Amino acid sequence: MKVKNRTSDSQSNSALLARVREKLLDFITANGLLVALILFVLFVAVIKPSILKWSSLEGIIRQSTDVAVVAFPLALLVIAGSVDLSLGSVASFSAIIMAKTALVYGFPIGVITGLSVAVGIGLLNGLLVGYLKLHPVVTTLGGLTLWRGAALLLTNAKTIGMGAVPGWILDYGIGLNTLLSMPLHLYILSISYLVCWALAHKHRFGERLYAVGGQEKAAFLVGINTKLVKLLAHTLTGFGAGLAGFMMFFRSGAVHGSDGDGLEFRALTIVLLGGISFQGGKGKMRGVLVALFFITFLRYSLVLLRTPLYLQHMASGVLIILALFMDSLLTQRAEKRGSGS
Amino acid sequence: MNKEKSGRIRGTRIWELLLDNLVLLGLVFIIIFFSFKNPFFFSYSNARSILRQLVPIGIYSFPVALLLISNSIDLSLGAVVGLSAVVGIEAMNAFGFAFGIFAFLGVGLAAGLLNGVLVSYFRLNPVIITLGTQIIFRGLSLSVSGGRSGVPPALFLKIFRLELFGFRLEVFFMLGIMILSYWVLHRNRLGRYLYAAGENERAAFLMGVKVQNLRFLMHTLVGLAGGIVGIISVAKVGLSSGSLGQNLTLPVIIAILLGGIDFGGGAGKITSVIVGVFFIGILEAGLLILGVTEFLQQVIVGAVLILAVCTSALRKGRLIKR
Amino acid sequence: MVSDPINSTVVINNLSVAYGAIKALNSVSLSIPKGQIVGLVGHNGAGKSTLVNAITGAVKPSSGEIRIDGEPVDYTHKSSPLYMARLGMKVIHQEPSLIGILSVADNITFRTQGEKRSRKERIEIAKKALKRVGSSLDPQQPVSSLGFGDRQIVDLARSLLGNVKALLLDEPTAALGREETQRLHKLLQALSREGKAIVYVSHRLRDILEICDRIVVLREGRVVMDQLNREITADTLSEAVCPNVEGSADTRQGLENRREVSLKAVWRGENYSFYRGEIVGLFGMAGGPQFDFAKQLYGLGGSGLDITLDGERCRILNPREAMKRGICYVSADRERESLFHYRSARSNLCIPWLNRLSSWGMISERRMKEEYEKVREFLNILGPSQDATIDKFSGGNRQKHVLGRWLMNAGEIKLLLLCQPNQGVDIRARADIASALQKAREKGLTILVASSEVDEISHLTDRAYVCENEPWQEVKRAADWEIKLMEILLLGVKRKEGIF
Repeated sequence: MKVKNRTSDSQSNSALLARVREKLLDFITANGLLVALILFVLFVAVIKPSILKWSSLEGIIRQSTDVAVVAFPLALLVIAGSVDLSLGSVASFSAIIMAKTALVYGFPIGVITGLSVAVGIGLLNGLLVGYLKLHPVVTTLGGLTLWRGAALLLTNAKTIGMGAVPGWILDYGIGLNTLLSMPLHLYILSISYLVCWALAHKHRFGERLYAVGGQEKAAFLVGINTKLVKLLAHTLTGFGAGLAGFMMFFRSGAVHGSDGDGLEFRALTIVLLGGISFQGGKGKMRGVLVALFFITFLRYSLVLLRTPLYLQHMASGVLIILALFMDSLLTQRAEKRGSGS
Repeated sequence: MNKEKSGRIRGTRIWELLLDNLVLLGLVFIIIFFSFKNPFFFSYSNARSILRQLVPIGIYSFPVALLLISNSIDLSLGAVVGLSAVVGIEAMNAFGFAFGIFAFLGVGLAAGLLNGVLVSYFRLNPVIITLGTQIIFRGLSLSVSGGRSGVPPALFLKIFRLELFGFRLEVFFMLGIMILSYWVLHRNRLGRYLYAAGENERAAFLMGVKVQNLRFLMHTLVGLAGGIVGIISVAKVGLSSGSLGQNLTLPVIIAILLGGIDFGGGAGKITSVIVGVFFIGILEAGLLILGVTEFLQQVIVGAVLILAVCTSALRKGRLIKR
Repeated sequence: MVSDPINSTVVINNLSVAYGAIKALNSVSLSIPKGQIVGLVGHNGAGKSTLVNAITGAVKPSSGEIRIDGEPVDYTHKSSPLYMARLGMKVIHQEPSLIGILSVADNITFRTQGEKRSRKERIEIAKKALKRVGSSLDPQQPVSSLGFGDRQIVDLARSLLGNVKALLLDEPTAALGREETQRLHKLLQALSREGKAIVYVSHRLRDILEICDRIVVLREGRVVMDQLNREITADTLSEAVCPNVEGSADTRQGLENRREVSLKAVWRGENYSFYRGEIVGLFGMAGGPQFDFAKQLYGLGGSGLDITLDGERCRILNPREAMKRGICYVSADRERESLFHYRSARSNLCIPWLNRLSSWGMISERRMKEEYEKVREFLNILGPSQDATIDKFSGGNRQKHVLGRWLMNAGEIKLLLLCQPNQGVDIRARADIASALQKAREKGLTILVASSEVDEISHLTDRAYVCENEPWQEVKRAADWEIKLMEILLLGVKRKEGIF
């Protein structure tokens, strides 16, 4: 309980200073990534101004859509206290199914089938994790191998799908054609962000996600069906993976079983960097959006700056560890000052 | 009421017996299955090649099992193998045999140290951290190798392909590690501390068990094991490449899960891990002999992992609704 | 002073343990002589466990001194429990921390000198230790297969190894039967004859009066009585134990006219009825059956109770079902089971009612804000705005959010189960909560308050059951009824009406 005391002038001055410092730290921790992004963009722009050209930015957007479409639902899943490490493989598998079916039954049916398969896999994961209470990490690690193997098996590691995507759609995919002078990818990215954002922050499902992830026992005690919440979150990520598969397909008109390799780790890095705590129950979607641009921009500039491949690769790993550090620091700070009672 | 109870008790006992030895039964099943499909399977020479397949998994499984018992985990296993192999061979070719060996082990040790520090002293989540370090190690090995394969010196192959009673040295090494792990876990107080740290960290700490130090030690040992597996893998394949050990992490995890060790820590025996190791080793070897494509193998391994998690949950009684 | 500081094993001088502003122990002075069995009694929260924890190193005192055999103890030592154990202070807790997967022998020798020996030798050590406490348990079996009483025996055997100067037992007989209790008592007497100092903390006054040589009563962190057993009567004892209760004077009429049964429940073969619009207390020991009762009414843990709710017979198996039937529950563990720490105050309040506060699934912020305002007024919630995280509110105000969750729709729910609702709640907030509950019950809601604190029961309820022996004894609200409640709890007997 706060008790108001009379303070002398000098005391109130130092108190003021302390308050300013607190507010500054607050701002940095809440928006640190945004600040970092802006600084980074400026830094790279100085070295290689060509990065600010529209064609580069447009390319960045097109490339980041498949990770985005997976990262946003993954954020919801992590908020609910679970995780899915098989998303890249599921995306690939779903894309393969899409392509194979499309070659026989036409593009629309192909897409629907592929998406359904991805949703089905998400549902399966949801059952295993939510209802059978299996450990999400190990279970989805199994999925990672399984679906990747299945994708490669079905195609014998060959690229397939040529000709399955109708020409006019492909034009949108490769960026030849635009809608209102923006690539279609941007719309897809925005819509998936808005949907996930709305689900998390405006829909009652979001309240339940945060409750289940933050304090599962308490959520259970207020009558929330925690199993169902997890099931739905997993199914949604499945759909996201399917959508990513669609993006990979429609972006190049063909798919290979090894597409989307590492997608899940990139998405997880984005989610963690975006301030979504791995423990669950914490984090805002807008952080994930900023993190998405940050990571994509980082990748792109590393390529542009001709950094060696291995450094690029390692950057992800370092980023995940940094994200965890940040998260644990924030938790400690919150614990120190939050406890009233 | 009593009759119903005793009937159910008898039923549960059979069920429990089945579950406890499920993996053993499965092992027997797949041996029979593979022998059926290919009579060559059940032969002496095949046993040797199975062992060759199995040893890397085996050597890793035991220290990682100890790590899991103390309630931590390491998912960077394969990447450490790759890194130690690449650095080790480069060092060996540049500075000589002894130096190379030191490099192999040193890299493994350093990797384990890094994981240990991050997990134990910074208290970060081991799953994510080791996924992160895995990416880093893999990246490093790709950079050091430059995408090319390194060729070990002839001396290396000569030593590490030496055979004793028809089995390579590595088999005896695995046996040694198996016995050592058994001794540590079941015959030494260190093992009891591990169980305590895994089951009830706070109680163990209050009783004076240095939990964080213990976990750190385990991580380091796992790293060291990685260096050893690196040596063996290079000896087996005859080259070192940045992608070595790629298919190692999951089988090790499977072996441990099948061996009754759970993610929550504090449970499991070395003897059941041995069964788990043999299960996955024979499964992989059998699939190889059947000529199953690498991709189908992946599918099967993935499915087995999921099934392993299910059996692990079953064993904990979570699936049995009372 | 009854005790002789010179011949005492443990001497405590002006010991205080403070948690923030609250003093769990307030300048306690006490000495525990060799070979004496000292009983330590007090109401829930009086400081008994804190005292034991201070002596055994689990808690660091804020001020004061502890001397063992005349030597002052440096309690700033890093691993205090181990250090104090080495100095000879051994403790038996109600819930022993044993490692289930390890064997009895392994647990007994864990972190002791004998640990380094071979397996056979350890088993021998364990056998001897077990024999000393009169047990013939097989030292090789895993602790996880042992029942509660046996685990305590293992704990006991373990603590008697090595240097033992004082043995402190915290509620040792809570889960033991009569025979086991007798066995334990015989053992304690033998140990005291050997010259060990024994501190026996218990709420079972019968046990205390049976074997303790001297009895010390703690109340609200202070020693209020320190006398030899033969100089005390049961009356003076229970009066001394009873905490100062504020404002229990108002004898509320518990709505005698509206005696409509809302809930009938069967517990361990006995029937209990609860009426509409009444607030009933369920008073018992910490961790006692009153909490299990409340939990089972809400469908938690176990096979459910046979109940009749508003005339309908049913058996509730999970919280969702309970909520559908109009039963709501507030856990005693607010931080872990009631609050969503990173969520806003508003979220925390409205969480059970999302369906009705949203249209087409989209949450209506406007409606949520309105509902929040209503509750804020109703319960007089003080603190930052409803958008702030719940952690920014004080304990009492957090509890108001938890209670407000259900009281928001008091007219619609039938039964409200509260476990320790006043725990960690300041006095002003308690008053707000009490008046809110009064207003709520007028809507016909039945409220059950399960608690181990007599002042909570006295403050909030119309009548109370003492859940110590079955059948539970009912005590109606009256002046000074707290003492009666304590008496029944401690002595397990019913006092005849009027003799009080």
